[in-house]
Amino acid sequence: MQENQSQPTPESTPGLDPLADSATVETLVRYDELDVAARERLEADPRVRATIAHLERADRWLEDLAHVSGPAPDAELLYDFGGGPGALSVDDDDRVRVEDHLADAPVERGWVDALRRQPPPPLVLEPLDEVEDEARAAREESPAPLRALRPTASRTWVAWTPLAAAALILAMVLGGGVRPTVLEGGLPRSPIVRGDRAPGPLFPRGRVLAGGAFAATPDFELVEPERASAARIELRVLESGGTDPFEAGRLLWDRAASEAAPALVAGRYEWTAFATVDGIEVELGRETFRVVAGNPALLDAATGGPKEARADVVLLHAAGFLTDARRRARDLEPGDKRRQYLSGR
Amino acid sequence: MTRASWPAAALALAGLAAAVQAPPTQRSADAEQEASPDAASLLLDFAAALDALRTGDIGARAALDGAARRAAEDLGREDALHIARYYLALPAGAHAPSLEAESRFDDLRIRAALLDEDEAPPGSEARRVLLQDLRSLGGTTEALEDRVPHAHLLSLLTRLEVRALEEDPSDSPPGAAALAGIQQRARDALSRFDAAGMSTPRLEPLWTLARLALLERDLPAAERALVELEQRAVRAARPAWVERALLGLVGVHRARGAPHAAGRALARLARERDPHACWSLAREVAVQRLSKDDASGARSWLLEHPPSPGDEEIQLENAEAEWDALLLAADLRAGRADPAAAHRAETPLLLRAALLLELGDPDAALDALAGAPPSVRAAIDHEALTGRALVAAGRAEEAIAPLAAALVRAARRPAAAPGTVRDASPVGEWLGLSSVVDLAICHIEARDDAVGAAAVIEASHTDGDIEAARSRVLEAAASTEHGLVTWLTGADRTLRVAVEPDGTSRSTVIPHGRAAMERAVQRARSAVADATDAEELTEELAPLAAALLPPAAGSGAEGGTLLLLPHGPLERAPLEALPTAEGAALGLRRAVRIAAALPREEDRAPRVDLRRARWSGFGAPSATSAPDLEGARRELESLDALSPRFDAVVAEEFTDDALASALAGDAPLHVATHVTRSADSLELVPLGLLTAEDRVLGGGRIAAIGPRLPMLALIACGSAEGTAFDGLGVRGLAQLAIDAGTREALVTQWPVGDVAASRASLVFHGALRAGEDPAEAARRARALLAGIGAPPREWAAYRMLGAP
Repeated sequence: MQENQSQPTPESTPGLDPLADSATVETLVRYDELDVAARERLEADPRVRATIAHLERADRWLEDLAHVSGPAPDAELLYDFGGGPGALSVDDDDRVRVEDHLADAPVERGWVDALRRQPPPPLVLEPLDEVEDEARAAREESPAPLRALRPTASRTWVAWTPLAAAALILAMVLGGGVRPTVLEGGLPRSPIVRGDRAPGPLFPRGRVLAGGAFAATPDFELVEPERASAARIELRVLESGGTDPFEAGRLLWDRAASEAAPALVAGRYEWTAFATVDGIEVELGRETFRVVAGNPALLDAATGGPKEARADVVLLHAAGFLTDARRRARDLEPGDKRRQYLSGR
Repeated sequence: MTRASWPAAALALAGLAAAVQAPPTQRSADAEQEASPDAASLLLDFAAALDALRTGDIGARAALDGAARRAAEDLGREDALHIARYYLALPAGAHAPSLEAESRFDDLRIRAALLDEDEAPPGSEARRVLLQDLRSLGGTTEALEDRVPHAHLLSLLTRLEVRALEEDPSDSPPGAAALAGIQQRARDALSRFDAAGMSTPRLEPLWTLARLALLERDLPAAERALVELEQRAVRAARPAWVERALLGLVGVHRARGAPHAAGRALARLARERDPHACWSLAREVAVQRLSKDDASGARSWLLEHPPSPGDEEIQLENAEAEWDALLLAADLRAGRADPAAAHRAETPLLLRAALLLELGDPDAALDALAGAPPSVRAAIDHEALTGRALVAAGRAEEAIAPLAAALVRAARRPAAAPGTVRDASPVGEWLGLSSVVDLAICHIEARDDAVGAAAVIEASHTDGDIEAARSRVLEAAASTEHGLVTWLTGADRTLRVAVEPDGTSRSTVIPHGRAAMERAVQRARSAVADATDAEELTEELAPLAAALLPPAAGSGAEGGTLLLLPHGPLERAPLEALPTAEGAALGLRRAVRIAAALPREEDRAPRVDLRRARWSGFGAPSATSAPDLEGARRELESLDALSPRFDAVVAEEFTDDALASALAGDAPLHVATHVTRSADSLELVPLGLLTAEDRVLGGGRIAAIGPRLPMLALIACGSAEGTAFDGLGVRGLAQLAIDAGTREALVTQWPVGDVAASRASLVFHGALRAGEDPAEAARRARALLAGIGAPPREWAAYRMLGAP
């Protein structure tokens, strides 16, 4: 397969937002795994560059929290550190943090010293730190220890294995086991999500190109529940154009899901999916979409123009026309990539 | 008063309360499932051998033993072995008197069937004599060594006795002594059948016990009996009894205000019966549609499914009356009811009053309601309708008392057995939230008391105590920087009340009810799912934001806690994504907290200092069939690096038992895994958390654990999702924990990307470690993702559940 071997360049989709694809965003979120060349390539796009700068700032903040003294200790912690009556124990991390802070705060240093001159509370027979240490030891010896993660060698902020990162970059460049994202010239994809799919409407949704293949011959995709014997679609046009979020809409079409729907002109629509299970019809859910005009390049892509199907899918997907991209993706060569794209939501 | 302001669906339910709970008539034996020829032959062999033994053929012992073994081995009828053992153990002399008694009993059983067939009226002489003859024969059968004839007699006798009580025209409640006597006899029948190893004959006394429990209004006891009846009937392949059990369960669930449980029983029934031939099923589907305010759907269903003369389970005249009443309720809601129905004697009282109200004659409605209500449920509807009629007559102050009484009565009904997951709310299902909205508005109109209105909304989701709710509302508002906003949606309008930290308040009536709100919420969720940037999202959601949010919701400096109490359809609204007047989304401007109700402090896990607490973290399970969560793995590693007090458990160590142990503990917990559908989970929450080796910790186990954690971060797809209940809120994995006392939970409203989720989690924990409130930490997590250009569906998904 040749399609994944092209070099990734943001310019391959001029004028389009590279961040529109979730998988691309996910790649950027893992910017710290990129090698210098890959990163430079990505940062050629100013939007991508700004995103990475933002992430770096966030990481520096987190690193500070993890390794340096952190924010100024609050009054309670200072009190505990001072060991006044009723004070709680202070662990090593907080002790270091307080000491660092007091080194630069002479007034507060004075308060803490004053506290430390107070006599210890009479009923405390042993240092609280020791009590807590014993409790901690008891927790660690409990029959169901929670600490199962292998400690990282350096406790660095980003503890991602270099091997995985290298493999990812290799895949991006050469088109290996990990599919490249839009930025790398591959097919767009849905990110891995932490869940599975429930019955309900799938496509159309979002923006649909007026005059595209989908708008000319719409079809409705849904996930049917188990034992469904029939599915029905209600299609309504929202005449307020979205300015009235509560409107019921005018019924345009009410047929079996398998029947061909009428061509759609520009406007805002809502469709409701129903399924009949054991003789009783149940509503599966609703989805909205807008049929809007697009530029000639997009319209070419949505009507199966001269370019190859993969390029059209990338263009339509990156422009946010997922329904049109999905329709065009059916023209891809049969294979894993087509299947993977069409299995996304 | 507009038509829109009253609950036709609730009235339809009230009018049918008795019908829903009434048992079906005895179905003919012919309707029972016929056995296959081989099975029939085996059972005939068994019966013939048993007859031979009982008529004195000593040689039949071996034949009976063999037939019982074949029935057990080939048909799975273990009861045949027990029955054979019972009769083989009886002394030879016990059989003859037993057979004679059975012959006399058969005559009486045939008489009972003929009386049913002739529709002999309750309390008729023929029925009275039949009961007398049965009791007389009972003196003989009770003394027999063979315990079975008396068991059969008691089974029939108690069935007839219960029916007589159910059909008592005086409508007076049955005496406790009479109920206890029947119950004792039915239990005696059960124990006698048990002693004889008989399973199928137990079905009838179980059914009788369920009906007795319904007469006593002991819903948990009725449910237990019906569940056992269904299970035994399924095992014995007796579809007519399965149907009876399921219809009984539908009635019980509806009576306790649990529409989803009723719907599940109905779905099981639909697998057994065709609604065209089973009026009970068709009726329940119509009631279900009315309760969802789908009047046109109910109407068309009713027109397609009238009672069938061929339906053996119904009395056609009664069924047709039910059909008429339901159709009237549907027409009423759709604004097309025939005014003449208000004057027809056969129109149920509450429907008649509702129709008069609809026709703009509240005084006539009040006159019609002057009679005393006959049941608890009717009393609630009666008080609610009286209040609504008073509102319509412009007497808001007078309306408060009956509406508040109805609220208290409904809120204090036991809706779920102790120790089980709450899946019912008589406030939502019996009283109807429209009545609660009316009561709240009365507080505003008659007393200029918007805080009182907020307290009514809060009370309707707890115990109905409005004054206690007032204190909680004021305390909760005072504990935030920006106060609280609460909404309640009725059939045709929504009330919004905003309470500032200093206790000042403002209210607004939004002229859109449940159906319109559901549409708007679904569209807003679609808009968030499909928007590629903030500008597009703002444009899409601005009209909804203008309708829902107080104008000052996002004004002033960024940050600060705002508590939102959305109810009904609004609980699923992407409130965090709504644009404010300042431009940015509410969830980016404010540290938003979401709660369905304000729990008492003593019911929640104690507050802990999350900076200093020891966290448990679970994620990225290995050896599963789901995609590997590299982001979750990295998330756990990084959190482990971020804090020395974070104990991370990943891969093969992430077992369901380890997670269950953490859920049972008292440390803050972070979970980063797949939410998956779980067959062995609660029916109510058919979801679970995926752990190593494809094991799932399901909602049922989580509910049984009852997590009472100071903080639960559930970073999995749609962890806020669940089943929505009027008057109760969404039931989902996170809410199970909140219900059990978990203080607060970070959840997601829809599927989130693995890697983006890992970033959100890190920022959340980083902010906690920096000493921020969890709601502010969640705001920062959203802001980080929004700031790097992630699509709105990624950042707007994160929601902080729990009051401050």
